[in-house]
Amino acid sequence: MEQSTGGGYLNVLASGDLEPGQMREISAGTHRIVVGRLYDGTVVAFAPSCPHEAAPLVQGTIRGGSIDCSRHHYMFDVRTGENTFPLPIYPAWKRAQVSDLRLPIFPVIERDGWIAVEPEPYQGRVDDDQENTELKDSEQTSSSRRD
Amino acid sequence: MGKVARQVVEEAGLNVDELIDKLVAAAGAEFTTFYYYTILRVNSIGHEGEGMKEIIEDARIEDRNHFEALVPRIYELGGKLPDDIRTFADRAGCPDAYLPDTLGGVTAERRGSGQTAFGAYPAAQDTAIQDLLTILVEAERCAVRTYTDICNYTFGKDHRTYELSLAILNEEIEHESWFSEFLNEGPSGHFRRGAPGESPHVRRFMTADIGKS
Ligand code: FES
Ligand SMILES: [Fe+2]
Ligand SMILES: [Fe+2]
Repeated sequence: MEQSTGGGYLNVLASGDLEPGQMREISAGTHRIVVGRLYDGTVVAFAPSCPHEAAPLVQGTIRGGSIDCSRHHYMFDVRTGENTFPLPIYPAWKRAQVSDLRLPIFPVIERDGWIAVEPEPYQGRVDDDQENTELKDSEQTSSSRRD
Repeated sequence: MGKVARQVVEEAGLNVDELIDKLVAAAGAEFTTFYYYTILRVNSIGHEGEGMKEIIEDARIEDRNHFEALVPRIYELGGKLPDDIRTFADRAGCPDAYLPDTLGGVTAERRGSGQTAFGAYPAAQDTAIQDLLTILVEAERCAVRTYTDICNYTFGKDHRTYELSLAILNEEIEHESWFSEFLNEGPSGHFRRGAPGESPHVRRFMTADIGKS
């Protein structure tokens, strides 16, 4: 089960400073974190380096619920951290060669005109089981919905 | 290199080295896609596969054309292609379009949830041809994202690269919709090319080809 590791939420950005489709890289605790807003208004928070070859994700583009890395256009679901391209279409032999391609995701909420993040990423892993993925996805989404 | 050609872009406020990186990555993706589409095309066999061969050929040749059209712009701006083709392939801006398990004679594994910005991937291993089409359509979608990114980057600042990228983008969007149509996602709205891989949008940038039929 995913648990935040404590430490509480830190206000990092005024809500009005993040338009749909925008991202900003901020510091919280010892972490650098990218905070972004999806086009449906949901706020998301994730690690700043691409799990593929460490390109800065803040230079990428939000598309639907994913971040599209500008270097090789890998895509990651910014609510689960799951790679959505190209891993799902790689053949088994290639997937076996690829090391962990999962984007660390941070708990994030929006309250009282502020966006607040917990400065530690989710520790739990969303495994490949579809039901679990959906359950955890909806838990995270509800906690990060706009007020 | 075109000294003034580079200077005007720099003075418009673009980071030309970053732009060159994007163009080399795009050219690498075209070159590797041409290679992988060659493999995908020869494996497109059987009842449904034969019907797709022509359209894969159009996309394959046009991707090679995109490579040809990008290269002069890279050198004009003071860039170059990597000396080693392995470096070039590693810098490709889109992932490799491998033959799917179902066409490689391997029993395929279940994929992850496969949710994309555009919805779920088709359930894996319905048929080999559907898996093949999924690889093709996703490769084209990566190309659409690539040239949208370059158009956004150059818009109003580097007119020549913008126009070139826009011409390529026009063709990538057509490629996506051809394969999408085969996946029953709706009509492409297009008719087939008059000649294989004729690149109606990019052709005018392939100036070395002038004089050929
Ligand atoms: S570094 Fe992000 S896709 Fe390669
Ligand atoms: Fe192309
Ligand atoms: Fe294409």
